[in-house]
Amino acid sequence: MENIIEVEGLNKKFPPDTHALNELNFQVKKGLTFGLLGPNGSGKTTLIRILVGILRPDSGKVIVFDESSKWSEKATKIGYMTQSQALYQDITVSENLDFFATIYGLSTKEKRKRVEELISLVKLEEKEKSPVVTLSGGMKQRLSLATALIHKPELVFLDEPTVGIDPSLRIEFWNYFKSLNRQETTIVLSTHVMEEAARCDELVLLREGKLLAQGTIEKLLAETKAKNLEEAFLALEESK
Amino acid sequence: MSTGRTLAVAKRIIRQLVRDRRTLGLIVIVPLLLLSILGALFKTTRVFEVGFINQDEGITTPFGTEKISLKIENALKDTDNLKWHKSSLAQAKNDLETGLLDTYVLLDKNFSKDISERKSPRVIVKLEGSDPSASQQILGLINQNLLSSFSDQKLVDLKVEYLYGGEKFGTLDYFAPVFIAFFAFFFVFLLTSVSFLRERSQGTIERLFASPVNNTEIVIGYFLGFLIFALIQSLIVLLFTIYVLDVHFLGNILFVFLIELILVVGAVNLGIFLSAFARNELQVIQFIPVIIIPQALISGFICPVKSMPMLLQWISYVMPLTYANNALRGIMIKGMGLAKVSFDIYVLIFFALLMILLASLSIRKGV
Repeated sequence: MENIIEVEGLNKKFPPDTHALNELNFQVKKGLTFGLLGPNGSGKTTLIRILVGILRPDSGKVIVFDESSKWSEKATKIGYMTQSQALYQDITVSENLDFFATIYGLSTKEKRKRVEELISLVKLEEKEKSPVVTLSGGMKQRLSLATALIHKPELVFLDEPTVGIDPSLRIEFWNYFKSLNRQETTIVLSTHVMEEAARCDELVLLREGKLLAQGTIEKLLAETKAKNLEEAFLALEESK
Repeated sequence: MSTGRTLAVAKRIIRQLVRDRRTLGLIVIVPLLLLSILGALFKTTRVFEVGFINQDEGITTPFGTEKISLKIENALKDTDNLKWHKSSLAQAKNDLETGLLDTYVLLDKNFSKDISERKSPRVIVKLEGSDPSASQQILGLINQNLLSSFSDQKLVDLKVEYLYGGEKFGTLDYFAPVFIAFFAFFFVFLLTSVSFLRERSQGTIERLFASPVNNTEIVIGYFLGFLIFALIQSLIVLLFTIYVLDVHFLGNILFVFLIELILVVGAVNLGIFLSAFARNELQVIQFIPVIIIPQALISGFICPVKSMPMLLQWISYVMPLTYANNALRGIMIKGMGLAKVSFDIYVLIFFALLMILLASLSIRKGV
């Protein structure tokens, strides 16, 4: 299977002395749900920000899609859901979606169709005309996901996407992620919740900016002889 | 009421303030800064530059030609607020237009003849006229310093003329143009800096940076968004001042909008630039006493730049409102065209370009 992301010897420091990412090497295969698992402060968000082109690495090689195309071209194929609900609070649910659809160059017809589809997907039909500021935390989280998917991206980065949403909707989200994978869409998501990570096709385990391991759940469990992901994480942490 | 709980709240506030060095600094420095500016402004004695043109041809006596006007000319003395400059009519006219003179006094060719024949000699006082309160002061000073040298003041036929404005012009006419510039600059700056700060704090700017949108598109988008409101605001202010406050307006309204447009480009980008140095809305508000109020005080809003102490004059020359006020006064009160305020326009364009550069360089700061 073809790699959509390749990371080699990636380093990122923040002054005065935070080594946020330390010599990371990993690859993400196309069409999978790829998890970045690690506790708070392990470097997941910094890594995502580098992969979406917001931050520059200090050293190392980062290839997203391919080496030749410009970031502006790549950006049209990338969806990004930030950890904070990056939404315009004073405008309505549909206006937020419409704005992001325009930014990504959707035609008027496509826009109307996608806004309807996504409002229905995240179950915000009744709040379509409500200003975002009036929504609950969970609703905002759902809308934030919808804005990241509005332009049907080939590669989606989701930073802690299921925080604050109820269990039944979480299951629906995961079903949707899997349906996206079937359409060749790659999902890279960060989480610190083991249950969530267990649903990913492949994982990297991060701790204090260092990569503890990469592989499928089965591979990680086999290598560490652990019963579950939590034990595997602890075993890997101890061994390093 | 629990004293302990009350004191706990107070203690927490003190702790927060002590750790917020910028606020602490502002509490101390801003009042001192503003008081210094106000002190310097109020202590300033306004000096009026007055041209003196003597066209008196004199009278012929057995001893030759005698000019009675020379006695008056020789008696002219500079005072704390009046400086005389002997000049020709052409030079004085030019100096009045370029602002080197505030007024000129002309004794006409029959001056000596009229006095010798016990007729009223003609004295013309031509005022620049755009600042009505200055005109009043100048007339008072001329009365004191010039007409007092006449043996019979009632005999003098004093004719007051105005280059701009006139007797019907009031103080409000002088201030109306600066209100338009000030409101546009202040509100656009404030709204942009708060909006952009929200983009940063709510993470939406991060979303934009991960999208195909580039810095230029963001900066121009912000400018266009706020420009519409700034122009609507200035139209309302302009119509209100003309039709409700009955302010005189001699210029072209399109020129007013052009100046405002350039000013708004600068204000939007100044807002984007400074939002990079604020972590919250309170810190944006703290820019007002540092960026906005000094401009309101020393950009020619209260008193003309040339009358201020030299240091304040130099500071005013780096403030965009100084040039906007000058241009808008030129257009609205003096009926000037764009060519006559071109220097102010160029400086405003330079300021706008500089702010675009700074905004573009700082737009990704902290992301």
